[in-house]
Amino acid sequence: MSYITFDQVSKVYGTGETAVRAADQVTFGIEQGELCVVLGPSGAGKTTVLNLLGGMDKATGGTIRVGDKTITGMRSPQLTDYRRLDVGFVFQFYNLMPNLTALENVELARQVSPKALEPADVLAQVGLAHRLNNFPAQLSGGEQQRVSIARALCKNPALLLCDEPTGALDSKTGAQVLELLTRVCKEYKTTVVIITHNASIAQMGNRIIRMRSGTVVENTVNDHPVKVEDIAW
Amino acid sequence: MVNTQRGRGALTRKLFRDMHRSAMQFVAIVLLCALGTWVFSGLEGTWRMLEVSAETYFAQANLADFWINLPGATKADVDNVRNQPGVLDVQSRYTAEFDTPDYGEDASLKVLAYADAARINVPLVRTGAALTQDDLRGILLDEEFAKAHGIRVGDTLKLRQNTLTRVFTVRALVLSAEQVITAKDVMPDPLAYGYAIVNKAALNGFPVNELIVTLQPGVDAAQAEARIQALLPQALIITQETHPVVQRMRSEVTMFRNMTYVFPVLAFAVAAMIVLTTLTRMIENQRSQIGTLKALGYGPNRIRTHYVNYAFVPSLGGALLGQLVGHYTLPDMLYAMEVNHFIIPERIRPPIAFTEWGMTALMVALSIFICLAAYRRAEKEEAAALLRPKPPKAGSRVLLERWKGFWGKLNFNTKMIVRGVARNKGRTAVAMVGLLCCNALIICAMGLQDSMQASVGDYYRGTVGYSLRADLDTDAGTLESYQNRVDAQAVEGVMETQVSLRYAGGSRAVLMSVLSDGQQLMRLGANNALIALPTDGIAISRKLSEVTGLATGDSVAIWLPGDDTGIPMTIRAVYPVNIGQTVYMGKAVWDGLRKGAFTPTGLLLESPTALAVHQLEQAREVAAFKDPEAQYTLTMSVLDSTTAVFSLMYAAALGLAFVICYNMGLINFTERTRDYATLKVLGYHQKEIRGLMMWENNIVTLIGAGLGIVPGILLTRVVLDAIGSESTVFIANVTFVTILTATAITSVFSVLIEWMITRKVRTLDMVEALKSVE
Ligand SMILES: Nc1ncnc2c1ncn2[C@@H]1O[C@H](COP(=O)(O)OP(=O)(O)OP(=O)(O)O)[C@@H](O)[C@H]1O
Ligand SMILES: [Mg+2]
Repeated sequence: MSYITFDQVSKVYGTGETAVRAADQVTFGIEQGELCVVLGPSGAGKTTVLNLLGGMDKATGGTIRVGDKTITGMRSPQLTDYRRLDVGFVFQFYNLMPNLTALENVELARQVSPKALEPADVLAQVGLAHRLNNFPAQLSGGEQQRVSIARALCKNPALLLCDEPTGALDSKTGAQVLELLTRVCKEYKTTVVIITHNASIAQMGNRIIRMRSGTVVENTVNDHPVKVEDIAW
Repeated sequence: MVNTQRGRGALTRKLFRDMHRSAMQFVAIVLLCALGTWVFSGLEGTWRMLEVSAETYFAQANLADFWINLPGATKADVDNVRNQPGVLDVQSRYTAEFDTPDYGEDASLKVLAYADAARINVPLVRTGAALTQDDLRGILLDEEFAKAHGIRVGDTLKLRQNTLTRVFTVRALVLSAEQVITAKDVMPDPLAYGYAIVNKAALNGFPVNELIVTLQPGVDAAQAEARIQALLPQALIITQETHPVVQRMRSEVTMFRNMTYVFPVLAFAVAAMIVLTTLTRMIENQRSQIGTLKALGYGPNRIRTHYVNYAFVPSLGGALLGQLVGHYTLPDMLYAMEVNHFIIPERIRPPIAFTEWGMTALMVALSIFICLAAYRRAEKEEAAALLRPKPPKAGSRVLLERWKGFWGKLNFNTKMIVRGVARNKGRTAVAMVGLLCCNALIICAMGLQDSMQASVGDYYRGTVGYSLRADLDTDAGTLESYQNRVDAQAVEGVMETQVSLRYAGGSRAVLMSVLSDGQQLMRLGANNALIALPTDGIAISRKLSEVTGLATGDSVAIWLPGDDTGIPMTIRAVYPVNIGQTVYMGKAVWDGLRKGAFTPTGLLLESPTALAVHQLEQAREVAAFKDPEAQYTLTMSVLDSTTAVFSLMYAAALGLAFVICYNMGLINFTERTRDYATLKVLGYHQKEIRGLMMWENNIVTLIGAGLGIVPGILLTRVVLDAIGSESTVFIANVTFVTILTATAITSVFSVLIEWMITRKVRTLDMVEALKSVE
């Protein structure tokens, strides 16, 4: 039994004629501490799967387990606790609070998490020790994404879920962010799941999952992940 | 051509779909526009209904312009007045009060005995037939008095004055325009007081004592009055402006007119402000669509027209709806309240006034202007720039953070809220102004009642120091005789007469009150202190000073009824007395004038024994008793029925607050959905997010409502000034309890609405909210 297991998980949006099967009997497993990359064309159902895993959305059918928890059986308040304690989320568009400084955005996570790390330390970890008191609008895209990662990490989550974290960044800053994510995976022993369009990025993962039309078409273990700086963009 | 048609159809469809999608916001605009015009049209329609009903009644009765009080007027006097330029018609009559012993010891009638058929102040016959000239037994009776006593046409009615009695037969029940309100004091009491009309020939032996005069249309009343006054210096001329009944009717109309212009104008202003924010947001949210339409090649005029419709359709719909509903519903509901104790035979609906159309037009114009201004800003940008999302507003430090010690102590959530409030300054400001206005309106509505109570209470419970007053007839004895006879802690007398006060700026019929110099029962000074009456002049009440502009040191002349010269006098003091247009004179000054003995018309009694009261009740010359506490209650009940209209303002204020709070709350929620979704993703529980929202709302509410306190008090002053009656001075007096209550109502209201809005957090879809940058 893997740390994360998807067993015949489906997600159907809408009903009747207009129903869309965004995830169709998805089944896969991810081991603890792995850095897993999910690949697939647009509309393949990647985000759907990640949202289900992160407890942001409820599956139509099937079972999702993370460790000893069964996510699919949870009701809303339990899902909230699950997000609060176990999951860190990183978005393509950062979703920082514009009226909070970098430090305060990270503190936002500490407010709800009992095992949180020190926000200033985490920001230093992501290389932003000198920008603690800047507002998001005063930071570059890459810096904002690093704040967003710091905010996710601050909760010290077991799972770090990233939906196209480099989607809005140029290749150089993108590489920095990916580099950070691999380091997190190693140092904090966090299980990291990264969604991307970019097949070349996939080479950095311990595990690569390919999706198409709402199904998993390939789930391979990569025994020799490529270092981020060695990836050809 | 065909293409254009199809294109227009698509845009129209887009307009209605947009409206459907942001239904709440469009409904809010419709409602706000409707609310603004509804209150205005409703109140405007109501006072106009009152005015047109009363004035039509006056006109149909051929209301006199002057009532000339002239004991012993001769035929020659009548002819001389008739020959004055500008005079249309003159009638002479005998006017006096008669007892009706068959209907209770206290009941009396004001009898108007016309020398010939009534042409001026013609009574309106309700049942029965009018008097004929040769009818010496017939009487026309006040319908209200008849109703109160169950008197019917054909019944007999005995009139008594002193030792003389006459028996009449009721020929008809009537209404008289000059008696549109029939009250001996404050409140009509048809059981005790009414009026009746007879032929003067039926009361032979009584002299003519009153001339009633109408003027030709367009004649200047003041000039005509001056000419008649010069002709008959001893006459006391009462004009429509100083006639207690006519004036009371008209000041009632004026009061409602003034209220119409204060409250709804405020409601209108607030409504307009909210329309402004809502429309501005809506246009800004349409940025990328404006860009798309541009990119598709739509001309600027087409696009602009399309967006102007955003304002035009809902504002026209709302404003017209409000106007029509207001004009055709509120007057019907409020008329009875305003008419109060006035007896007006027919309710006449006024046409929709120009001002009402104007308000509607203004509302629509304002909405369109707001919309155009917002659109122009968006239009300036290139299509490409429009298609890119507007960068989110940057956060920044707030002023409070400079104060390190304090800022450091705040908890994280509070800091976040303070920044959030500061970041959305515009929206926060609108919400605050909304709450401010709401609180100010409620404070004002409640403060008016406070102030009226305090002002009237100050007179009857402060100025008035006696516990009972007995009104005396003309055959009263001397004050000493009563002081010897009546068992009470104190017995004092007052001699009151109607006099004509003439001064540089004009003349006015007022009450002169002569009091003993050492009197203790009228506390006329500041803070109800006892004060010595002037020994070398007169004092006047605050209201008299207000309406005439007279002040301490001014010279005036007092004309006693029947005198043909005035008595020059100097005003020595203005007494801060809240009720009455009164001239106060000391007994010593009166005695010095040698105008006759001091004969009390009223006895002021402090704690009389029951026996003393009983004896006075038996005494023939005692006409009525007045208990200050009862007078207070009466006055307040008259004012209360008037101020019942204020309940409408409470309703309007709350309605407004609801729409503002709900609308602003909704806009706030929509714009910050992303923030709330992020919190949800981070694992904030619903309760925590709602708590944060509530906290923010509470802070804004407290500040907004708090800022409304001072304007509320000021507004109370303005309104009090506007509605001030002819006889009473209202001093603004907003109590602490009122402020607290109003603020509590505003706050609870705001909190409840925010609570409703925060329920949306439950259904907030994180996935949807965070999907794309909008
Ligand atoms: N709320 C929704 N209602 C209906 N259909 C939806 C909804 N959300 C997603 N879908 C559909 O589900 C499918 C999978 O969507 P998903 O967002 O998971 O794709 P994705 O792999 O993340 O694509 P991309 O790489 O473009 O982000 C798509 O066909 C999409 O149209
Ligand atoms: Mg996606």
